[in-house]
Amino acid sequence: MNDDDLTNTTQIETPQPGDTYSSVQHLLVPKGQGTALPTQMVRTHIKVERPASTSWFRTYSEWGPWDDTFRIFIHESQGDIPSQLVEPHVVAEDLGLKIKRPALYVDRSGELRLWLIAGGSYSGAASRTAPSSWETTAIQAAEIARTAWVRISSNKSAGIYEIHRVKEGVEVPEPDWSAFGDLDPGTILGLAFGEDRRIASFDHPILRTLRGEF
Amino acid sequence: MAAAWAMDSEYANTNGWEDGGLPIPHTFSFRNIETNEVVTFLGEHLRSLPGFPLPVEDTFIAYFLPAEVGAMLALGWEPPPRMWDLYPVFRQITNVEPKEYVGRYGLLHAADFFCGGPSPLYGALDTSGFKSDSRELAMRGEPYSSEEWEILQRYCEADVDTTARIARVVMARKDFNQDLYLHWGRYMTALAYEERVGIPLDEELARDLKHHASEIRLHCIRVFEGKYGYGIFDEAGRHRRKGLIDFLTRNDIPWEATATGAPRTDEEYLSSLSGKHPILEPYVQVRALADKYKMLGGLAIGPDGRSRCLMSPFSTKTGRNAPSTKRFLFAMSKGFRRLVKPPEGYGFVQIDWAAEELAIAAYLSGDEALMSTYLEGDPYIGFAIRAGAAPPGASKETHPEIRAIYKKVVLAVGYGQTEYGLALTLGIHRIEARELLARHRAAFTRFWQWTDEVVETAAWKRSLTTRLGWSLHLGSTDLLDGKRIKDRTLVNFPVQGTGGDLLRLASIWAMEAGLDVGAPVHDALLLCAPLNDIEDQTRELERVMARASMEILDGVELRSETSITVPPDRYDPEKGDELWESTLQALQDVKK
Repeated sequence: MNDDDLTNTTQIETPQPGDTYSSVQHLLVPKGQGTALPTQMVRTHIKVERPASTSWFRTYSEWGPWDDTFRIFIHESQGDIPSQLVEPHVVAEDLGLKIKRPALYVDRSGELRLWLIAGGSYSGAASRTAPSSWETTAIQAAEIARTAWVRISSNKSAGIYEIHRVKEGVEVPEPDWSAFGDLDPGTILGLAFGEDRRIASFDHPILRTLRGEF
Repeated sequence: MAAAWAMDSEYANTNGWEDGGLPIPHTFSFRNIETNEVVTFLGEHLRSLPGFPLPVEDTFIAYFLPAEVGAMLALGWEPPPRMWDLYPVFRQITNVEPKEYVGRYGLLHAADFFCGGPSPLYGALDTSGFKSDSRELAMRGEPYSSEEWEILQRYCEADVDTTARIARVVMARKDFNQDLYLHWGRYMTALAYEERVGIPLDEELARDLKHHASEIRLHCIRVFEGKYGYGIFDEAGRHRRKGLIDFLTRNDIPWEATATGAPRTDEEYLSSLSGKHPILEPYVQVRALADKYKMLGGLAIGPDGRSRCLMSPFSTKTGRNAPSTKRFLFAMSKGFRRLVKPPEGYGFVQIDWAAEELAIAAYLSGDEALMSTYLEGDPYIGFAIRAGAAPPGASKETHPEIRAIYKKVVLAVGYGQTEYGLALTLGIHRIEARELLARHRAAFTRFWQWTDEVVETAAWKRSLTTRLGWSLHLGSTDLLDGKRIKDRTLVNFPVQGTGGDLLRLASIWAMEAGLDVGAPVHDALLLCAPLNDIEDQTRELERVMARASMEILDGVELRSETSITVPPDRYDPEKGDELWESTLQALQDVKK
């Protein structure tokens, strides 16, 4: 059979639609109903970690180490006891606590982490040791990362973090901070340390040990 | 009140139907679902009917409707508008992940599934035996004796009673959705129209290649063994397992074994291994080539020189077609598509939706950045720019290498590929692959959230459903054990399934527009149009495809790419030159 035969034997009149096609609107499942159940991960923990030298990051700009008044006190880990967050109201004497200046950051894979920038040792009352060049450059990096993607690398001989940033004008997507839920510093520190790693009372066994009461 | 009828037809294949020809119908039977009234037409009586013999406002139900519509078209009937098909319904109901129904999808299998067995009208204990004997008789074609006509009538009426029984069970189900089934019926009708059109081939060359395919395969293997002497194939071109093991042992190539102890020879594994052991490269190539020629030997070529074969609609989890890779030209290697050649006076048109899956993913996820990359024109360079790998204003021309890498990342994400797979695809270290995927996550945050939502939705609703109603159900095993169902299966479903929705709707509208579509191909439609009307028909099909996307994607218009081939040219797939040239050379060699 050749092509002409095919045409001649069938003689089918196919339907003609005019200008419009038969709509299927009545069949459409509303967008999202078929597949999208909006969910959100319940965050139970935030890792405390300095940004890796291979990692580009952005800091949450609402609070951070650039604010001189925002610092926390840490009792560093000793033996089996992990580091503890010491609430400011129980810090009343020189107990060898470390001062940290927290920065919340997100890396390019979307992981949220907390960077505790070393701020020296607490040596009683409001005094503290002078900031090191590590601290200064870390804070600079955190501050730049409020508005630009930043990567840091250690320059040990100079004792500083070298700061790399994406050039201005290059379009790189902004982090979607709203997707992370509540980013209040209290919530974040709670997630980073948990209830069992917070010292909120003068009678806490660790403080009593530091005061030599045991 | 409009009635509902089950229907079935029988046809002869003396016209080459089984090899891409067209059917010659001789028996058509209808059974009223409610009253059980049966109407059967046979032979000359059937062919003398002036048109569809029952009220066209009634509803008609078949099992695998393209066969019945094909018979109607062969008889010169205009198909009635209200028809639906139990086959996609059966597919839909058993589309469960992990797979629970492991049976086949014939009429008798559906009868077992829905009704616990077929019609008693078959009247024999060995129903399937009677059915296959009768089918052979039907295929043989006329003339028939009066006893043979009786057998054919009984056979067709038993099939139609079985169809009616299944239909009653389906109509009583709480998930019965007649409007949706009628829509699918329209698609099955469109497929029947498309099967009549087929794909025009360079008939002489296609038949020559098909005829000599096994010789060409053998020739390639002999050339390979003659040149390299690996001893993996025997003289008859058979792959020798012992020959392969000996070759590997001789060359100190460590080899992974399958569960049965045989060496792994799957394509992915071979490709990964040949990267480390270049001596394997010629073997990998000849294996792939031999497989391609094996498929070419099965190419469907009808007596009119056109290729047409069963499109196997609704045969994948995502509801897409799954035509045989051994019979359907567009499922074979691209190089062979040069066999497509429009006949005198006709042109061949291919219209593809460009970056269809990416646009669907952007629409479904609501990721504006991803949609922007699509709307800007080149989503791959768009991603590279957003990832900081290319400057603003970069293009395919200015940054081809970067674009190629980022395109592979985009495609890898679409397939749910991990950093391991991507590293293999790009030939890079896993750490680099991880960074590339991280860039995608950072650039398209909303898309990645949506993929999590899809998995959660599946866990919550125990099913996923596309915009146009195709569903994947989750089985009784625990979804979230991370073992039985891969997240990538779930995430892939809405995108691929919506692609299936689009192709079905475009096929229906192309039929309604009177366009001679020859076949649907994944994200494209192939049109065969007379030269004096080809421009208009091409524009109309482009319009159909654009409007189908707008209908389903809330006004998002998918771009399409059009290629037109007119005589004396043959279709140019833009790839596979080497395969085509070497195939023609091999054909010449074996014919010497």
